[in-house]
This record gives sequence, C-alpha cells and structure tokens, in this order.
Amino acid sequence: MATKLEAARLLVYNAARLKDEGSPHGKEAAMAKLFASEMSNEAAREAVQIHGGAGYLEDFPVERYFRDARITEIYEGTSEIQRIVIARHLLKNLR
Amino acid sequence: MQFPLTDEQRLIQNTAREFADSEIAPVADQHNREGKFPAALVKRMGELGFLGMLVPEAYGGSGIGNFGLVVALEEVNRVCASTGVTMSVQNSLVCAPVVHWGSEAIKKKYLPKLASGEALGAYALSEPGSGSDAAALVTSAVKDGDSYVLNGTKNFITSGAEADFVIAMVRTDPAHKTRGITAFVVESDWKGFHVGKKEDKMGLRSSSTVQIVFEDLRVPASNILGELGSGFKSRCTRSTADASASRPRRSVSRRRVSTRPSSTPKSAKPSTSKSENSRPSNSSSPTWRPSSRRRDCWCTTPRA
Repeated sequence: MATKLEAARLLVYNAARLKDEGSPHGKEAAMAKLFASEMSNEAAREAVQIHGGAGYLEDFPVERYFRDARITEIYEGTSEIQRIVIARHLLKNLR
Repeated sequence: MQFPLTDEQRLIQNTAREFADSEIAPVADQHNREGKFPAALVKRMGELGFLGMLVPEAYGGSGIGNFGLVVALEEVNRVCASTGVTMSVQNSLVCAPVVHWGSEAIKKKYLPKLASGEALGAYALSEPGSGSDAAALVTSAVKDGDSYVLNGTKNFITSGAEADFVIAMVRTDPAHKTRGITAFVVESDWKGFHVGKKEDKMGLRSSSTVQIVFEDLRVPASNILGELGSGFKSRCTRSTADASASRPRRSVSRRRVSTRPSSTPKSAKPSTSKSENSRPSNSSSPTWRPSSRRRDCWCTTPRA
C-alpha cells in the first residue's frame, strides 16, 4: 500500500513539475490522475479492512476516507476518460 | 526518483501541514457529519495564500505554480478532502482559466478577490444530459446587443451554493459541437442566476455540490473568457493544466488513510533529506509568508 501511494505521489509530482516547466504533460497528468485516484480507493478499502468492524463505524475517520476517496475516480475526468487520453497520446506517437 | 523541494516549497508544505493539523483536522469530522461548508477555513486559506497559488503576483496571487500547489493540497487533503476540493477548485478550475484566458479587465476584476478568498469561485461544465461527453452541453447563450442571454441547467457544481463567480461553459453556436462552446464569467448575484438542488453525496459532504440554473441570465460580452467558441479548447487546456492540481486530493486521502487515523499523521514527504518521521513542531517551523510577495495573500500572523 505504501509503495503504491509513493508511486502515485511521484506521478503527481512529475506531472506538476512538467507543467511548471512548460513541457508537454497531458499524458503524464492523465496517468497521475488515473493511478492516484485508483490507488486512493485501494488504500482506503484496505484501511477499512485493517480496522475490521471498527473501520465500518462512523466512530473512526477511516470510513470517511473510504467515502471521500470514491469520487476521485469519477470527477474531473473519470478513470475511463483518463485511459482514453493516455491511449490517444500513445497512439499519436506510433504514427 | 527525487523531487527536492525548494526552500519556499518546503515552507509552503510546513505551513499547510500545520494549518491542516491545527485548524482543519479538529473540525473535519464535525463538518462531515453536518455537511457544513467550511467557510471559516476557506477564509483562512485565503489569508494563507492558498487560494491564488496559480495567480501571478500582479493580480494578488503568489504565482507559486503547480508543484507548490500540489504540495499544499496534499497536506490539506490529508485531513479533509472536502476542504481540499474547495481549495483545488478555486485554484485550478477557476483562477487558472481566468489567468490563461481572461482579458486584462477580467483578470483585474476577478483575480484579486479569488486569490485572497474574498470571493469563491465555481466551474460549471456538466449538465443533466452531459457528463463525460462534455461537448454535448446544451445550455445556450444568445447574443443580444453587447450581452449574451444564458439559459440552461448545470449539474454537479462544486462550491456552487457559495460561489460568487462561476465560469460557465455554454453553447454559443449550435452548428458546431466543440467549436460552438464559449466560457463566460458569471456573477451569482446577477438576475437569473439560481442555485437549484443541493446533492446529498456519499463523500465530500462538507463541500457543496449543486445544480445551477440560468434563466434569461444577461452576461456582458466582455465577460467571455478567451475567444468566442474557444470554450472547449480552453477547457481541454485547462483540464490538462488542472489535472496536476486536482490530483493531490487523491494522493492525499490516500496518504491519510495510510497513516494512523486520529493520531498525528506522519510526514510522508516523498523526497529530500528530512526524516520521514519527524513532523515539524509548531513552535519551530517557520510559517510560509514570503515577505517579498504580496502581504495580503500570505499568512500575516506568524503562528506560535
């Protein structure tokens, strides 16, 4: 879980750095959005599991993280849209 | 891979972390339960300079850039994704397109208020009949003299209930799908601007998500962002520009759950020399308030 989160963070930082440099970053941004949002949900799901029954209660913040994470795969370009964006970048470079 | 932070970025990180832990974390759970919009926190974020990080200094922002923004967003989202999404929308969906596409007059009029947090912004693209296929939007703008008259309904508008200004993507030419879309800056107190249904959501419960209805809303042509018909182009550009800024909310929620909940979260800096386990103590960490920058958008009160 920690390894995947670190990978997600690096993708995000990389895209931000490219953007600040004025370099092309569309593909990298889409990859970061896709991976980071999916990993956030994976991590939140595992976190609930680690807590067992307590993770299912509103008594602890972990259930809020689980609920809050879900939207990230949907808003600002769903995961499906991010995959389309990434694929277009890859295919463009094949031509 | 290493991403060494500059001194300023580290200061931003420390300031955001301290703000998140001392001011957001104590109220995040309550806000979530009550579905209460964190107005006081938004005001504080304006004071700290966290709402105009992509806005050049000339317009009241810090011009700190996307990397500094994601570093700060990560800290805010670590403790509250609702506060984080509000911050992200203001920076990336509202300020950034105004910076990139706005006329000089629009920038002067709107950016200082947005950057300081005096005004809150929202971005209205989705409609009841168009989500991922955003270019299918049908909200119309019809030219009438020096104005356009807007009619239609926008869906899922983050911060829409509280927004003072809204960037509205509307159809100015029904004959062209993508090239018939134009972005307007709309003010929420104009006649014909209505806030509709507030959504009851699974998460992000203290961030408002509402329907916005334009009913014969008259907008001056001078409030067009960019060129007529360039709205979707600006959308695409902004989208990629924004994507980096939007991402931290994800990495953040993730990061928070990966550390021990309700205890002091450990520093999870991805890089550089500081110990992964040492969080800067409130007493020793300097606050991010670069004196070389505009005073009114930085933290003016050093935190003890």
